[in-house]
Amino acid sequence: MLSIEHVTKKYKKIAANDDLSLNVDGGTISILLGPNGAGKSTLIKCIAGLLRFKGNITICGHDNKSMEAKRLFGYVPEMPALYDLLTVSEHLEFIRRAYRVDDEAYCRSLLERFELADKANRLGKELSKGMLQKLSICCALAHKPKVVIFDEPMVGLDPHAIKELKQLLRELKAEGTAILLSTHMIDSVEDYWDTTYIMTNGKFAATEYNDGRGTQSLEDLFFKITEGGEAV
Amino acid sequence: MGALTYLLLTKLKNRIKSLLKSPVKLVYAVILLGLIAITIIGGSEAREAGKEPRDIRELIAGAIGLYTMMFALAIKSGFGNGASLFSMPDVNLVFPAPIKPRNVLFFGLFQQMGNSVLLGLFLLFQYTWMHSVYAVSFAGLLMFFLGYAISIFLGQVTAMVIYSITSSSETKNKTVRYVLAGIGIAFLLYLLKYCLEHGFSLPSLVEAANTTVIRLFPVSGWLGSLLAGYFLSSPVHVITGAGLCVILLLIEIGYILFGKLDFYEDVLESTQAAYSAITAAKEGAVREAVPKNVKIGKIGLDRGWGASAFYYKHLVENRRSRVFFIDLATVVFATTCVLFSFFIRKGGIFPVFAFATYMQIFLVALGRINKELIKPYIYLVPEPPMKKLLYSLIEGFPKYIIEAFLVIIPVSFILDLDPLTTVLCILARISFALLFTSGNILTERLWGGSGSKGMAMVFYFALLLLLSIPGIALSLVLLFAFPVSFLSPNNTVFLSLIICNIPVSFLAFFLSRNMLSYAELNNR
Repeated sequence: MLSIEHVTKKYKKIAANDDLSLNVDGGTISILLGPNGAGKSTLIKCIAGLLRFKGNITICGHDNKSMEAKRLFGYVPEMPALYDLLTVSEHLEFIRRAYRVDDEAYCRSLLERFELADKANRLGKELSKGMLQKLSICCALAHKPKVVIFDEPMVGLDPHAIKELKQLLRELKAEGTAILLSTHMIDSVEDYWDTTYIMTNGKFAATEYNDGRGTQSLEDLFFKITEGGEAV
Repeated sequence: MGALTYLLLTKLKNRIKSLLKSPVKLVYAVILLGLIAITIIGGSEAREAGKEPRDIRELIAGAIGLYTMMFALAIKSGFGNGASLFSMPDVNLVFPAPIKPRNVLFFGLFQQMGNSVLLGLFLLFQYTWMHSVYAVSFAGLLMFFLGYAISIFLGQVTAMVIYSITSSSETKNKTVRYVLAGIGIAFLLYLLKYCLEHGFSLPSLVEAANTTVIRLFPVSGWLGSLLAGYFLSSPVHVITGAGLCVILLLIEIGYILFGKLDFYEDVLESTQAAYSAITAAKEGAVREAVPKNVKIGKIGLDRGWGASAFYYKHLVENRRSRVFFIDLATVVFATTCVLFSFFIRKGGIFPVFAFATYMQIFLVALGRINKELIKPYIYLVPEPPMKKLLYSLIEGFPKYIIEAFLVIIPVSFILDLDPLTTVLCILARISFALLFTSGNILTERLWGGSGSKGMAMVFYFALLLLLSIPGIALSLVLLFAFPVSFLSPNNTVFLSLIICNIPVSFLAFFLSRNMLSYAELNNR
């Protein structure tokens, strides 16, 4: 569903992403791990069509900058970028209208799920960091995308919201959505990942597939790779 | 070496080092210095020998107006978050350190002085015409520059004092506001009275601005006195002007040091606000002047489907930020243009139109699309880029039309223009608004968020010049090569501008249509 082939993104002479390729199938959750500056957010922004790059990125077979791809794609940015002067409910109304989606009930259910329903009439500028993050997640999911990318979605969330987000991820996976999630909170993804890509210096240093036995430790693998271990 | 001296010197040293390390910054600095040198050297030769210079008091009157505006803008922040001479690292590292608050204050004042000087650099580019028309020497130019820097510096310190006095009490806030507004109105009334008695003309206004009463007007009047003293060789004026500024500064420093026990608290909010603004700018966010208390009013966009949702969202945002079709800046610009036409009414419509168009460059901003460009949604929404672009721009169009009426209708009465000229003049002004908007968009398309902001501005001005050429060229052709018998020269020019500016604008929009497909959001 999400396919990345030989993606390179350079800032002047520095390659933030160096010839990266990966696939995320429908109904799977792929995790991007890596130290600060490894190039995770750059790759995510390339997928979202926010940066120019060399290579190919397709979403459900469509070029990532095409209308078809955008319709099927949801993106939760690292920093919530919302509108100060729109209320919580208006954010979702705006997304619904911009994406030409009629399903108001689904948007309401997202707000309820993330405990934002009682804050529906509060302005963006009045929301705390955690509430902004929750709203940003709701906005990314309002049009029921088939491919969703989460860039550090847990940052700023309270334990209840983290639990809700994990549950939502499992549901999206069950519905056949392809999910790519970048995080530093390794323990928060230990119990539901399918594939993990560990990035260092703009490259994939290791790729690990979940064998389903629950014996693999992402944390151990991460430290092994980033503290000088060999690539897998 | 003390900690504060070390900090100041290290910051200065690192600033110079970063300049040398960054080719773009270095090229920019070299170009800037080169331009200043060319302006000064070229400007010195620009005066025709034997030509009688104009009355220097005109220039002093203009400087008083400029200083008043800068001082007023600076002290305005004293009623909001306050003003700060400090940066966030100062608050976090210097304030808790065992350093005397007095030393910290002087450290802040010294930093601010440096910033004020940098802000006035643009004045150095005015040397050519100042020397050519008013015979101002380079030393004279430096006096204007000094006055500008002092007005900003004193404005910042005054804002800090105002915040310190008024932040704790709404009553005090109102009282100080009324007192300052009262002082401003009293001096405006004096100018009005003077012009009523001596006639509404530029010479009367200049006379009025150079009277003793105006020279008593806080800060800008005092600086006017300093300038007058220098140019008219009157030590009394120099001493009076400079002395009053020094006394004000000493009183303010005295108040900060001895009147209040803790000035750290007073600068905290403004420092945090300034820091957030800088951080936001570094992260690419365009900060919006959102009112402190937003009246939410009706909830919901109610309209819009696909790309048009952006337009209806902008309407909601404009209502909440109290931006209606006309904002304060537009009113100020319109009033300035009308006043300009009043004082030079004998010159006809062209000088007024040229002046108003020049001002329009600064007035035509991109509005909400600037804020959209730094958020992901405009790129993510599955709609054609050209449609998204146009729907994000149209919230600004009614403003351009209303503003054109607001400027041209009073001007047409003052200059006694015929109806056809008035209509064409309005349309020509709207066409320039479109042209400048398209220039803005094209700059975004070609320049994007990359590179230095200063270079982007140079590029933007060059582009505006280029886009304006077809209209100006057609005017000249029709005026001199193929005169149109049934149109007056004025109307020929306005019609030429309309005929060319509108298609050129839409061509520029068309060429920029893929801007949203080839974004580089990371660098913004």
